[in-house]
Amino acid sequence: MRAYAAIASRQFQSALQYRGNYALGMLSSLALVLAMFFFWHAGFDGRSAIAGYSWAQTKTYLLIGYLSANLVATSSEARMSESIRTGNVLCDLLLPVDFQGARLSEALGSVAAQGVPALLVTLAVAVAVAFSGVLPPSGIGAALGAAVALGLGVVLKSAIVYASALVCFWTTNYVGIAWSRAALTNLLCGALVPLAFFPAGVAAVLRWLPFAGITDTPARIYLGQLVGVHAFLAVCLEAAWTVAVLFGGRVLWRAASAQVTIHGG
Amino acid sequence: MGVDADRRIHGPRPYALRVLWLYGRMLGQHALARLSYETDFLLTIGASALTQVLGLIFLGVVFSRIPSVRGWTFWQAALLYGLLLEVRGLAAAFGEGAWSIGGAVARGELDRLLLRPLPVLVQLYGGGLGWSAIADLGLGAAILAVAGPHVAIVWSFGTVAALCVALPSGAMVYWSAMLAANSIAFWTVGARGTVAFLLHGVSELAKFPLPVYPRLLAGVLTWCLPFAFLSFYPARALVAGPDLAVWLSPLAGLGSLLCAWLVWRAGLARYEGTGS
Amino acid sequence: MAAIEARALCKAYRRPLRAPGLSGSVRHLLRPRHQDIVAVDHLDLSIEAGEAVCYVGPNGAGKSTTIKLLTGILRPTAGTVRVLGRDPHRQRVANARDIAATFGNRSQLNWDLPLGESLALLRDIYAVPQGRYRQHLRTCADILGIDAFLSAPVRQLSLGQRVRADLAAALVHDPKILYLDEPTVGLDIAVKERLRAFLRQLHRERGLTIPLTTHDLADIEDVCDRLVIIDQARLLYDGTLRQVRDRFARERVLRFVVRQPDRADPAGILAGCGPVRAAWEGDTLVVAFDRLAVESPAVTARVLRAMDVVDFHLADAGIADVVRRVYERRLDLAEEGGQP
Repeated sequence: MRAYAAIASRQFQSALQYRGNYALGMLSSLALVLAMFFFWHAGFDGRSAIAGYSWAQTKTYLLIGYLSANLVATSSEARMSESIRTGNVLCDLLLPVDFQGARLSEALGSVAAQGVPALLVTLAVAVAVAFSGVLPPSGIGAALGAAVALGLGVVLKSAIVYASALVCFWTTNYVGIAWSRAALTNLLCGALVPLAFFPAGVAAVLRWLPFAGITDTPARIYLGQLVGVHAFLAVCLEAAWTVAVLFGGRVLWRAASAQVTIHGG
Repeated sequence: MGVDADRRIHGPRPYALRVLWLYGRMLGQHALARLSYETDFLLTIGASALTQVLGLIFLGVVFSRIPSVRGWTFWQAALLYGLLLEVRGLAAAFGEGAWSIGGAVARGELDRLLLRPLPVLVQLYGGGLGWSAIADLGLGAAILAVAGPHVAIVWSFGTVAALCVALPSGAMVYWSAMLAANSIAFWTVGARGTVAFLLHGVSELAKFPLPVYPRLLAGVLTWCLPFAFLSFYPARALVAGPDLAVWLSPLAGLGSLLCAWLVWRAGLARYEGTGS
Repeated sequence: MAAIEARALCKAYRRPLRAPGLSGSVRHLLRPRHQDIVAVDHLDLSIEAGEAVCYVGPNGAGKSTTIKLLTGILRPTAGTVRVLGRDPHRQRVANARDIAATFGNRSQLNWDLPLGESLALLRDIYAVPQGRYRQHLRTCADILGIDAFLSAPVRQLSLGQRVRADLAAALVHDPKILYLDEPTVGLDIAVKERLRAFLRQLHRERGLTIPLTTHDLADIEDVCDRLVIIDQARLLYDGTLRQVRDRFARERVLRFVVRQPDRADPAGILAGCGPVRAAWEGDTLVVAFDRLAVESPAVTARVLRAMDVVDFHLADAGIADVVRRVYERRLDLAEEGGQP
């Protein structure tokens, strides 16, 4: 366990060292959230509700989506691609720690460096728009439930990012992988559009997929749309998916590590 | 060893022509090398196609809830999206080299380029084509073909001419933004493309028509980071006929190019000053 | 005029200072601090066309920086450089046509392309006539054996193959000057020998000017005729190999294995030879002296006459000793360099 803590701490430090990086990464996703914000603002012109969401609820949902998107370090693809390209991955393999465990520790280390400022910025944004009515949590239970779901979502998303980063064993183009993974998770978890805005049947299916746990579940618990047993079941589903994706990552890793070739002689 | 008397030199002689020929030759070599990694090639194109299809689904979901935003319908927005894909695809196809600046600086590979009697930028951009652009260009064309008939396009000689001016200009804007953003690596070695990701993120704002945004932001997207020229002004020219903005798009393109060039030069000068 | 001429050449840059550990990261985040580093300090250097000069110094002494200044990659902070009459930085492209450089274990070749493709591209970049190119390939095949891996992507080459490939690539355009930054680092003995033979041939037959940095002392003795020693960014010594040996490596040691040694003080026997130091090590008499001040035959003759010698052995202090003493900061160049 100490080894993993050391790896997480190392990643925390190097994430801090490239201080400009995560601030810029945050701004980058802020651009998209901003686009959505203004788009819906224009869309709500003359309407009081869309798919049962008021403008205030939509705003709150998007803010939680932004928070959840930035709580997770998404530079894993870049790091892993680099270490495969340079052959450093061999050094990682020599360490007496589990590869997936080490990468997840790195991700959590980055969360500490990256997520804390993201949290602060989100709070600042929340305060700034408070006057235009971002909603508070619907109750103490909702606040706690949302926090649990959000925390679980961090692990879930890290596991998803890890699995997609393994694709770098087959391609040098990590940028493309990172972008399509981001497009997929951001759309299907609700970070861009509340899942309720999808056609009802599609939304129901999406809520059964692993991505919903990242944004939709915490956001709906926060807004009081998921309460009691329903909220509990949603969090259970999220936990189940977390375990499943972690396991899937291990299977994928076994296939990927067979790809490791040693360059030169 | 006998002296081989063959004095033939490959390629054209005049310098400018020769540089262009060498650029093409490098791209050709890389294309061949790249195609030999089939999985990589297909994954690259597949990933890009997935990204853009998801973007389209997103647009569909959004417009399924509101029939029009600030006067723009779904099909008009789709047209705008298609144009964005074409313009960004064009720029990305020939802009792949910019993404290698960060790595070249960090690993000292720039030294090798500085030792060659060719402009460094030519060598960088000769380092590869943006294959993902194939997916963008293909999907963009498909979207334009499908959305076109649903939109009452004002076809005239002026519209065609405006497109011929606006699309390359838009591509120039995005290409320049990526060059400038990736050149930041000269100052913060660790950053690698982060600023470029940021600017790419900002260019996502061009997925929506400009009137959606507050005046200040719309002004920024026209005058500071002229991403409105990627999609909005050309799309408006198609929907409402060419106007002044679309004719001025070459200014945006050339202005961006000049700024990017200055950033690149400053970065290279810094590299030559510190060696890292 | 000299092929390479540096006058009062200086290079300084800033490096971020960061204490190790977490608190160090945080502190650097809050208040970045920098350290000014002088990599090259008022260097005067003049290399004639056709010279092979070895550049020696401990790690971090400023060797690579100097090479980068001479090749035009870096811009000097102060001072001037002239390479074949040009400013290598300002006239980088023109300079690039006449020079080549390889940097240690960093390849100059494109990772993904087969070696043959890379070489052909270089042929076109430098507009090398087809005949001369084919001849170059033949030479490289004969001496470096690159024909065995011409069609392999560079990423699959072993280090030895890659270094040879790099050298073949550097010489495609028949440069007048070839800079080598640690050319033999990490190579096995056979490849090293092959590489040195090739460099010797280039130097002797084609008159190629070769400035090279190395830590491998055999490179120095095999390839170079001149030695430049630097440490802490400053030039410590500049002279021919022969001069170095005559100035700093004059100690000669003769060892005589003696049957039934009496271990008597050998001073008596050796009286009249000049200043020598002699001592017994077991059954071996060890005599050390300055080879320019004392004649070895005189010493040998006296010992052979006085004792029953079974075997004997001669050892000279070599360049290796000189360089080791420089690295350990034990060589006082001013004092020992005083007399010729």
